[in-house]
Amino acid sequence: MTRKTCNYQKNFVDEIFEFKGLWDMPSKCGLKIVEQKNKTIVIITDLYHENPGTSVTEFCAELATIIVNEKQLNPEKAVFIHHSPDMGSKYEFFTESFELIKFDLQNNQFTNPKWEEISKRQVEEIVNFK
Amino acid sequence: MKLRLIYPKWEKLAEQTTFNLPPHGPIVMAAALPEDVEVEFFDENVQDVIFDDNADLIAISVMLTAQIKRGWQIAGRYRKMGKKVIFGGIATMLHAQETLEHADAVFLGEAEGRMHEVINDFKNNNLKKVYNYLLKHPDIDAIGTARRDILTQEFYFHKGVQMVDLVHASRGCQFSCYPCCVNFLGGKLFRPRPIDKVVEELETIDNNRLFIVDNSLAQDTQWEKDLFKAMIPLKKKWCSHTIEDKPEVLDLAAQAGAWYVYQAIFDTSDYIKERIKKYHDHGILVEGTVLLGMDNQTEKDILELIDFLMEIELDLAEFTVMTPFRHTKAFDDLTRQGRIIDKNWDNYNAGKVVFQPKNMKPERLQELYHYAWNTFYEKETQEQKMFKLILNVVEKEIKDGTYKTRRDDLADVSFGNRIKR
Repeated sequence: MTRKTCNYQKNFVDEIFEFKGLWDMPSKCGLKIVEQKNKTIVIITDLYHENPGTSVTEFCAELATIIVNEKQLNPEKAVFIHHSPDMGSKYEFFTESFELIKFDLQNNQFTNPKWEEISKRQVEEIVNFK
Repeated sequence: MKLRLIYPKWEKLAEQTTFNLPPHGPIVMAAALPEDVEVEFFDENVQDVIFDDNADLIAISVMLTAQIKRGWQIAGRYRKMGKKVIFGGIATMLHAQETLEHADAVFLGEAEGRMHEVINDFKNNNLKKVYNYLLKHPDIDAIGTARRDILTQEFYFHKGVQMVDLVHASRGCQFSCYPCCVNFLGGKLFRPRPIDKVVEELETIDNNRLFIVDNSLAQDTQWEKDLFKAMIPLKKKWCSHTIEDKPEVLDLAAQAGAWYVYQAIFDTSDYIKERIKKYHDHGILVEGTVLLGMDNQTEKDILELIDFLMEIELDLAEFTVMTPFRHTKAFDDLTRQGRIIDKNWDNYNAGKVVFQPKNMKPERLQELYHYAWNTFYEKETQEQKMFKLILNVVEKEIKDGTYKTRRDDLADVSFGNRIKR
């Protein structure tokens, strides 16, 4: 997934996103946003060792709300994907994985996250890079 | 002003020989209190907590998740009496949001330099709901000698033999181990204490046997070597979590009184076998800490691991089941996967299966956990292995003239309770 292959380059966000986590702890995640015609794909990457504060799972609903507000996204159209990057370990719990996150939405606030594991291929299909 | 400091009880691992060590967190916090605060300490693991009116402020110190609900119960009783209750310690940080519902205040972070503010606020009837010092670490030089004077030392004897005293030489951890929450609590930066301060503290401890409770001493080779060099003249004997296995480090550790180390045994590799041999070659004993139920373990793997432990001549072993403590990658992964089946924190003592293992049913993992304890200690009981461990340190102490005979007046007492012999 590179900028070169993205069909929606002008609306592509790819950054380290800083946020105040639990108890205002300075926290970081990877953030990719791809605007599509009817939806906005938001990929949140856990940075583990590089994140000094709250994990993106622990703070999932609050973080989704913060991202939507800061990036001025339409929450109704946002599709969230959690990304655990490969940590280069021999243990499988450090390998790459993706989950589609579904929330309840009330008054522009996300709550009650639910995760569904998806493959990298499915992510690519959702993002529609191909 | 009188502060009653309480350390709640928890359910110990049923399979493990019961022992109670003097708590470390409360005595470290107590060292940060203003001098005019009189501290009355209760360790509920060895004594009953008194619920009377004879204290101004109640402070509850919780280290383990398995203690937190008991802490809330204690707080509830005091708050009904009109007492203000503040929580602190590791499990408070892990369960801060929930604990707020049971407390007048929660303290998050490390205590040094912050307790004057808390006590002043209390005296001015202006206690804040949250004292948030997470990730705002105090100057490492500000860590003073822990207040061991608030402990009733006699509670930490078994049949006249004193348990180890706890001490720490560093905070923080640069490693991010899968089931560990230390990064969340103490930060990802290794923060070693100045060695002269550590030695100064060690000199005050009236106990020749110590447990250096640092997350890992193996984070800065030069500091580790310098620490061990500085400890040699003290002639203390100590156990600790893992230390580096470089020959020069092990040489110094042995000279500094390394008695035994805890070594995580996570597979049946030659790396583990060789590491244990290196410790043994330096006269350092090894207690294996064996975590069962990781996603990479099948039932066959666990059975092979237990067989492996019998081969490598571990001196002791402690078995636990993988437990998804809050603020760990394990908790996050299992939460996303919907595999946490029990959120009763009382059951998070690392001896009960609270999640759906990947490769077996929870009940089977629980059986394998019991099987591991029973099999490892089948030919030689825990008591026999622990006796050997004690003999080892006694021999070392006799050799360097530091051996103290057991306290005869406590020969019939185990952790404060009289026993029949």
